[in-house]
Amino acid sequence: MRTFGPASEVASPPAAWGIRRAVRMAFPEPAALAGDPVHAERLARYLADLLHPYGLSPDPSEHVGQSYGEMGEALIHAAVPAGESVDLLVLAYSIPDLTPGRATATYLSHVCPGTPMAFAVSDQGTASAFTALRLVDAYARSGGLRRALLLVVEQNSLPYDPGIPVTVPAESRGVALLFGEPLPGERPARVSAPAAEPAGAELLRNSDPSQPGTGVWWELAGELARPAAGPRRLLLADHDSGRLVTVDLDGEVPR
Amino acid sequence: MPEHDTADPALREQLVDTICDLLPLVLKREVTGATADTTLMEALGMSSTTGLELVLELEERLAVEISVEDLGRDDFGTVGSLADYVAGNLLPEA
Amino acid sequence: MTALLAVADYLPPGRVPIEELAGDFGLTPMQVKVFRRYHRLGSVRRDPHGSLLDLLRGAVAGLDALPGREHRVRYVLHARTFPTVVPYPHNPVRELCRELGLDRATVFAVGHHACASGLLAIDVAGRLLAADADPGGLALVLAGEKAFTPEAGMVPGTSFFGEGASACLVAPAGDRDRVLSYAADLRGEFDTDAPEQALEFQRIYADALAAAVLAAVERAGLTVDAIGVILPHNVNSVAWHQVCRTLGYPRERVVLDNVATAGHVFCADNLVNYRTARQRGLLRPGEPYVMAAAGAGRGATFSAMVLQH
Repeated sequence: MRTFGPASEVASPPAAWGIRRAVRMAFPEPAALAGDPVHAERLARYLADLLHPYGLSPDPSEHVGQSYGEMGEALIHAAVPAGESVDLLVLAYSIPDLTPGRATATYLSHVCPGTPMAFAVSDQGTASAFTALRLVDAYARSGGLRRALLLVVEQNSLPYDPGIPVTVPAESRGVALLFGEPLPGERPARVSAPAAEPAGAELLRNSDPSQPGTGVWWELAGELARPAAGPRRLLLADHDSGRLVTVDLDGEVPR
Repeated sequence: MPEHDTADPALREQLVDTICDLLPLVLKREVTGATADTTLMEALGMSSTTGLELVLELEERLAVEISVEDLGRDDFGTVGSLADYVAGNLLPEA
Repeated sequence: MTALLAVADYLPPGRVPIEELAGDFGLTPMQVKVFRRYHRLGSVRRDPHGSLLDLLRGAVAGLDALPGREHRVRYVLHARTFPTVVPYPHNPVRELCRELGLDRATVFAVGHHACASGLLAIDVAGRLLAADADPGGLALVLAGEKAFTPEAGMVPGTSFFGEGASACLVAPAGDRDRVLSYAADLRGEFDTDAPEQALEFQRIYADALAAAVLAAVERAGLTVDAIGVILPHNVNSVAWHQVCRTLGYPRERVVLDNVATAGHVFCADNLVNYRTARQRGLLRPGEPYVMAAAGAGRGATFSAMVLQH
């Protein structure tokens, strides 16, 4: 059971709150669930009924796809240190997975140490993860969290032609960002959401347009894995929504 | 169960017999050796929906009307506890 | 403190008796009789020619407080019972925002708590507005879905979904319908098709829902006696009677009026019942009340929120 008091304006999250660990993983194989005939039958019905009012029908060629439950579980195991527990888990995605009706975030709460409060943010294109990050910050300010886990996922199968332009990711990928106050020896990465583009920040670009959902977060996880090279300020921008995020590595950059 | 000690023992016995009789019908399988002490959920794997079907089947079989207003989870403990509930909640004929 | 500035709902006029749905779901006449006699379900609303956009538009049309405040709406959230309700990347909520002139809003869906996602969305909206520290900011929280597939048509052995929608304008502060607390119990262990887990779920349902209500009430620093009324989810009447027995709360103070005539309106139930409670004069100024819901279907969430009218 997770309980929350009133949401009220609080100046900032806990003192040293930031990204403690970042993990990125590719999932080149289809989900284990994709081979389950009971699942396949259920999915076929769900999709047919979902598409019918739009005059669309499932693509008859074979589609397999990934499960955000399976991907999220692997990310949780990689990102959450042994013996630690998580208070909040936010799952951000845009393209649905092969279990479009499943409460995947609730399942991930069950497999995540600490049985965190968990929910999903979706239907916002590439901005879903930016909104999810905003929510991690918002709950850290007023929800009394010690640790939060942001999972940004995308998978590579859309078993129908939606009749409007769409980018289906080339590969199933996920990024996990563990937030909290750093333990001794950890490199904190402070996150903030400026209203305007700050001077002196390095713009992180998504170098791979075939990975619209995870792209820039994938790059961020890569940067966070590099050895320390003095203070840096990274800027992440979502061009659709205009959302900006800065990540300060290895100490405060003078503002 | 002191709250049910006013129930007519003959009526209760009839209800227990009828419930046991109806078990195979609602569970859609053979059920042997059920008694007043048989647990409905644990021993027979009965779901709450099936339990309710059992109550309504009982109405039809005995041509009575049962008030389901206060029927709670505890009443579905055993064949006997369900019989006690029914005995105490028969509605007078309209 | 988060406050609900305005609440509205929409139920389409079409009513379908549950007996007519029996065939779609392979129910025997006896099973339907159980739903009617015991669960007190009667008919559900359906809008056979309408879309999700139509339902949501219907709810927003009742929000008298929205016109003139469009520019203040920072967020538009759609609370989802089912995570995917339209073909990707179609987005009727964005279409609605265009119609309404909500051009500046961040528009997204929030969920994975099944039918308890409506309370989640109110909490999420409140946290975002509080973090923005912009006293003029507002969030529009939408709920409601189409019963588009059998999975979204009924909850086996428990309820039938009815089509409809709710809309709620959330403010970071206000003096009416303030959110005092929120509790959510996520039970991912029920993410399985195993029949023994389904039985276990039925066994714990009322206790877990009662525990969520109690946790929210305690978090608000109150006791259950102080709660004037409970605005439930419309899953069925009997589940709530059991919750009342567990809580020792009078069932007359749970607004079950819409169970028999509207069915379980996805995440919109609590706000549909809010309207009924106001019409019946059950919400008294200053008195705390509870909105509560259980979400089920491959994973379960039991949630409750305490508000003060």
